[in-house]
Amino acid sequence: MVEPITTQAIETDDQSSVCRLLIDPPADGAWNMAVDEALLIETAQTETPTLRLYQWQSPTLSLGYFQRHEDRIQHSSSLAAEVVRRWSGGGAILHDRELTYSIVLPAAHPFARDTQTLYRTVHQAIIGLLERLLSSVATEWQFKSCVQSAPVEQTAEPFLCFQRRSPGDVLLRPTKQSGNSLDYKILGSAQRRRRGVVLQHGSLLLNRSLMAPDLPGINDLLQSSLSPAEIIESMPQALAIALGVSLHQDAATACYERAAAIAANRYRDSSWSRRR
Amino acid sequence: MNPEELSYAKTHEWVAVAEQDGAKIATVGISAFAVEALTDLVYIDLPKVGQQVEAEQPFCEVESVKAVSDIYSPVAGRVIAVNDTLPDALETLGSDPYGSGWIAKIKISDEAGLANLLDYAAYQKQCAE
Repeated sequence: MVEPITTQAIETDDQSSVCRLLIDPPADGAWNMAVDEALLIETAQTETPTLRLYQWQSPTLSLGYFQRHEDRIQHSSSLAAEVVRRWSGGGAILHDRELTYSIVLPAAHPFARDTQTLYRTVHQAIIGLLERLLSSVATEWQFKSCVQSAPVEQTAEPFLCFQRRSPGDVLLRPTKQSGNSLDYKILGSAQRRRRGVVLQHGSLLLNRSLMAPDLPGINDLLQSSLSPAEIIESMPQALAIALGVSLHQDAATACYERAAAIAANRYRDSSWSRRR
Repeated sequence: MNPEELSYAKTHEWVAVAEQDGAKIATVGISAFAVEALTDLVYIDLPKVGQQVEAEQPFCEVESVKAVSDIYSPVAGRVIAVNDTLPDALETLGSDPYGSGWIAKIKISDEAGLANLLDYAAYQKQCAE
């Protein structure tokens, strides 16, 4: 387990609302999910938003809260990966060559109430950021926000989040549409809500994982070399502007202590991942 | 059931209390306002029959548009029945939220929580804010 975590501060000029920023080193799935849950619980008391960026120390399959563990057999290439059940909904994600963000907003934040508003706000900010970071890359692809769900029956919903399509998902789509052109999902998010507080976390797919070779990332499609470090440098500011908050440094000691207990009691317990 | 005759929790659950064999039984569901706000429900995790529940504590979970939300028990007591047709017919929550969309029946053990519930007019006012 990776703990304690160091944090890094980035300040913005906007003082309208203070938001804690946590940039965590790569950790295992149990720890990553426990910190997100701890942030949600803590925010119900502190009413302070948090933005967190993190990575995964080894390829890990995270299951959506309502998914069945046995369904992971549907994706054979990730069977050797560690598995953790999220507290949020949606489909399974193979976390490997990517960057994950989480945002926790108190009930009073104007974007906390409506599910789609928060998806849309965060994803549009990330699209803008990616377009800036990749502006020098000549490409025949463009970032687009998915406008409607894929026309599939619930029972036929793909196992993996990145094979599903929901409104607000961020897609890479060819600029020149042809009859057989495909788009690829490169960012998907999910939420957990409790007493008005919302946790939204999402995965930005940078490179294809050997454990999910059917899912190309941004760099595979654009032939670019965008690194997590480059995104970490500029994403907090982009999201802070979108959410109308200013970022500040906080050791978050109490949160990490709570997370350690949550990880031990829930996410490291195999019965949690296998509860469905 | 007539929504104007029901009681409501601030967290959008409705309650109908009836006497049965000398005990008070609360039938619980979620309001039409809540169903509309949740949109596109895909999963529900019902409470278990026999489960003890506390007022204002989570006792059921739903997923919509990749967001998992809690449903809170408006009363304290023991779950004596659940609407086990709901998981395969979630549209019922939207089409008949105050009737066949009921979630659970709870044998009330402590009536103190009932005093915190809102009447229809007060709940409507809350929803309008």
